[in-house]
Amino acid sequence: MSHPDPREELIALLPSLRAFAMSLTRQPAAADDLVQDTVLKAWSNFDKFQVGTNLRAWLFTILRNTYYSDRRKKVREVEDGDGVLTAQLSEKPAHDGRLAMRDFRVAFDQLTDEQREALILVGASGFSYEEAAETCNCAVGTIKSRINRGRARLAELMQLNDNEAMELTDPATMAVISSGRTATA
Amino acid sequence: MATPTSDKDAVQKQIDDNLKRIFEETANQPLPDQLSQLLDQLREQETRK
Repeated sequence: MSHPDPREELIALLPSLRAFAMSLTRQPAAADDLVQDTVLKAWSNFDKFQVGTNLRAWLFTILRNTYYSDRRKKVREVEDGDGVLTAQLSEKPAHDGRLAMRDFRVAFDQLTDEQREALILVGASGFSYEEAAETCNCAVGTIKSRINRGRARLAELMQLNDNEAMELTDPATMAVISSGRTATA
Repeated sequence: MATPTSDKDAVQKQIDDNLKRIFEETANQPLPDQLSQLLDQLREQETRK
């Protein structure tokens, strides 16, 4: 039985890889650099890829490992990258309805990297819990708990707790902003 | 069905819908030149082997 050429499959998977990279870096230029590094690594390591196994999980794993290893390097270089993020978060979100996209982004940005990746993998890219666990090199239970905590945090930030007011009022919006200021990454 | 469970499901659905929107916003974009050029280079190398 012949399998599709993984190189062709990789090309088909690039849009999802970019979207995953974007959810980690949250900056288009950094996301594209990350995807570029991932493609180069994958291309030179295709001999290690077992044809017939999960290429998507393999590629997402390379991208993720590259991101975390770059991040560790950057943390060592610059102690505080927080200034930029804090400035972004203090931008006042729209308050014209719960889960407006802009509000949601602000809330999403406040999650930990691990929560964001678990939510994006399972909630948006259609990964199974098992596939996400394989990609993140952790237990299925860990993925589940990251997703649960991420969802709970989003609901909290978005004032979506059961029976809460339907709309973000100004004070509520301000609370989201100020909690973002003090939150540690 | 205004049970607590369905409220919770509705919240989860809204969250997942927004996650998908964030994801698809990037996934639906055409590839930037940086990446399509890289692929062209890689494929060219491949055919020269």
